[in-house]
Amino acid sequence: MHTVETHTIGAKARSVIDAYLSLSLSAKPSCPYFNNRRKKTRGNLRVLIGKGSPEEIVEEAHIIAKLARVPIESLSTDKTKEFLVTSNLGIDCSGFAYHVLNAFAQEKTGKNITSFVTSTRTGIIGSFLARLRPAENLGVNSFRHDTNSSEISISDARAGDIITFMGTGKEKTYNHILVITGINEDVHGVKISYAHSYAWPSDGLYNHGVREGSITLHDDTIMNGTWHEDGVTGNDNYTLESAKTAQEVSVRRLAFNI
Amino acid sequence: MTDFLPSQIESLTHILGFAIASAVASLLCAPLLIKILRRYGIARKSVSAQSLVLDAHPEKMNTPIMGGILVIATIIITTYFFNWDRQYTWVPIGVLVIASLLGAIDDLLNIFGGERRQRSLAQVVTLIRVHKRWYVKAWFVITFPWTLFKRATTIFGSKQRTGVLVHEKLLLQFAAGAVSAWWIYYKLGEAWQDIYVPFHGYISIGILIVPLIILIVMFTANAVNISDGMDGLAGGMLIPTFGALSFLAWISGYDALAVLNAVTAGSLISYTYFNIKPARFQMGDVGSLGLGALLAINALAVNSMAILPFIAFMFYAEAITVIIQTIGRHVFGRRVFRMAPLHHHLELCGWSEEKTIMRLWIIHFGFVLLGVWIGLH
Repeated sequence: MHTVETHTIGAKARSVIDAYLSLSLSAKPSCPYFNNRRKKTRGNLRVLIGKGSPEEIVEEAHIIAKLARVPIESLSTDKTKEFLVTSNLGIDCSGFAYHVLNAFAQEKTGKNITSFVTSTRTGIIGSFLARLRPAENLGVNSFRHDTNSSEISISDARAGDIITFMGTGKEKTYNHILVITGINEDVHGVKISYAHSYAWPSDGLYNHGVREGSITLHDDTIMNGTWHEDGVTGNDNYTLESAKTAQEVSVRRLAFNI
Repeated sequence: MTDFLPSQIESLTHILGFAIASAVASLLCAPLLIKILRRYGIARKSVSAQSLVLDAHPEKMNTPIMGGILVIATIIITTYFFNWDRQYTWVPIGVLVIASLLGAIDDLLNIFGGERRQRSLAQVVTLIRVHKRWYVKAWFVITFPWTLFKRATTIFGSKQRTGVLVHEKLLLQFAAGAVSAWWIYYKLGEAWQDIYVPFHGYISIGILIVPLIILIVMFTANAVNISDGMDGLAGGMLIPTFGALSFLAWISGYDALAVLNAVTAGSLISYTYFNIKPARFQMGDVGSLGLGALLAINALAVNSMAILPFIAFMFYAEAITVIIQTIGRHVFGRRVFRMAPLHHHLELCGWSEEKTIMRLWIIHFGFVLLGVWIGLH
C-alpha cells in the first residue's frame, strides 16, 4: 500500500447525498429504498419508480400528503419515513448513483453524466427512450459496462468512482452500486467512504434507504477490507454480505473522472 | 347612440331581453333542479382517482351534480320556441344535444354504474397465447388494434374505472364533431366554409374545414370539461365568453346566433350564482361537454374561430397544461406542473380555492376583452 491523497467528492455531489440523507421535510428523514422491480410500474413519473431526485421526492411527498390529507410537516421522523415507504417514494441504488454522479459530472466537466455514460439498451426505440429518460435507463449494468467505465484497483480509487456488485442475492439476479465519496488515510489504514441506497433485511419495513459506510483497506483487495456501515462491522454488515455473495465485485472509474 | 341605427338598437334590446329572461327563468328553476337532483341521489358520492384531488374536499361530498342541465335545458327550450332557425341554430343545438347526452351518460354511469373491467395489453396477449378456444383467440387477435387504441387513450385520463371510458368519449366526441362538420360543409353553404382572420380578411381552406371543425369541437368541449374542477370556475369564465360571442354575432348581423349566445350567458349567470363556493350543485359533464361543444360551434358560426384562443383562453390554457403534464409524465417521467390542470397546480402552490378561481376569472376576462378587440378588426 502506498500513501494516498485525501480526496472527497465535490460539493455539488455532496449536497445531493446530504439531501437524500436528510430529505427537506420537517422531520428530516433519510430517503427510503424503493425498487420498482416488484411493482413494475412503466411509463410513470420517475419519482414513483425509485429514480427521483431528492427535490422530486419531497415535492411528490407533499402532493401525496395533501391529497391524502396527511399533515406531513408535523409527523415524527419514523412516521414520515413510514409515509414515504407506503407512498412508494424512495430511491434505488442506481437512481441514487445517477443523481450523485450527475451532480459530480456537472461540477467537474460542466456536462451531464449522459455525455459520458450511455444506456446498455439497444435498438432504435430503446436508445431513444434511454435518452429521454436517462435516470430510469442507466442501471448498474450501464455503469458497469466496459464502454462506460473501466476497472481499476481499489488502491487507485478516488471519489466519484463506483463499486459494483453483479449477480448478488439468493438468486444471483440483483446488481448493486456504491458511489465512492472520499478516500483518506488514518492509523488503521486507507479508508474508502461510500454512499448508496440499500435495504438490509435487518432494516425492517421502514428503516432502509440512503446510507453511508466505509471500507478500511488492509491490502489491495477490497474484500479483505473492514466494511463498516450503520455501526455494524463484519458479517452482520449486509452490504459486505452482498459483496461476498456477488458473482463479481469491481471498482470502476467512469470516463469523466479520469 | 346616434351612430347606431334604430333597427340595431332594437335588435340589441331584443338580445338583452333574451339574456335577462333566460337568467330569470334559470334562477327560478334552479332550486327545483337542486331538489330533484338531491331526491334522486344524483350527487358526488365518492372520490374518484382524478378528483381525489383538491376539489374533492369532504364538504363537497353529496353535492348534486348535473347542474349543467339547468343551462342546457334553458338553451334548448328557448331556442326551440323562440329562435329556431335552420341556417344558424340547428347545428349548434344539435351539437349541444349530442355532447350533453354523452356527458349525461357519463355522469349517470359515474354515479350509478358499476366498475368496468379493462384488460391490460399483457392480459390480452396472454389470453391470445393460452386460451383453449381458438375462436376466442381469433377474436382477441382481430380486436387487438382496438385494444391498443383503448390502452393508448388511457394516458389522457386517470385510472378511470367507471363512467364512459376515455376511448369511448373520444369516439363519441369525434362523431359529434363529424356530424357538425358534415352539416356545415355540405348543407349550410359557402358562408360557413370561410374563416375570418382578423387584420386580414376571409380565407377559404376548402375541405380542410371539416377536420378543423372536428378538432376544435373536440378540443374545446374537453377544455371546458377539464376547467370544471372548482366551484364557479367554469361557469364564471363561460359568462364573458358567451357574452363576447353574442356581441360579435350582433356586430356581424347574426341575430339568431346573438340571441343563442345571450341566452347561454344569461342562464350561466344564474347557474354560477348557485355554483360558487359552497356550491349548491355542480355542472357535471352534461354541462361542461355540452357547453364546450356549443362554444366551439358558435365561435365557428360567427366567424370567430381565429379568436377562440382568446375568448376561450383559460379553457385552452387548462387543457394545454394537461397535455404538457401528460407529455412530461409519460415521455420524460417528470412533472412539469405540481398537478394538472392549472387550477390544481395553483392550489398546490398555496393559493386558496377562492383566490385561484377569482384570479383565473379576471385573467380570462382580460383575454376575452382582447379577443373581442381583435375580432372587431
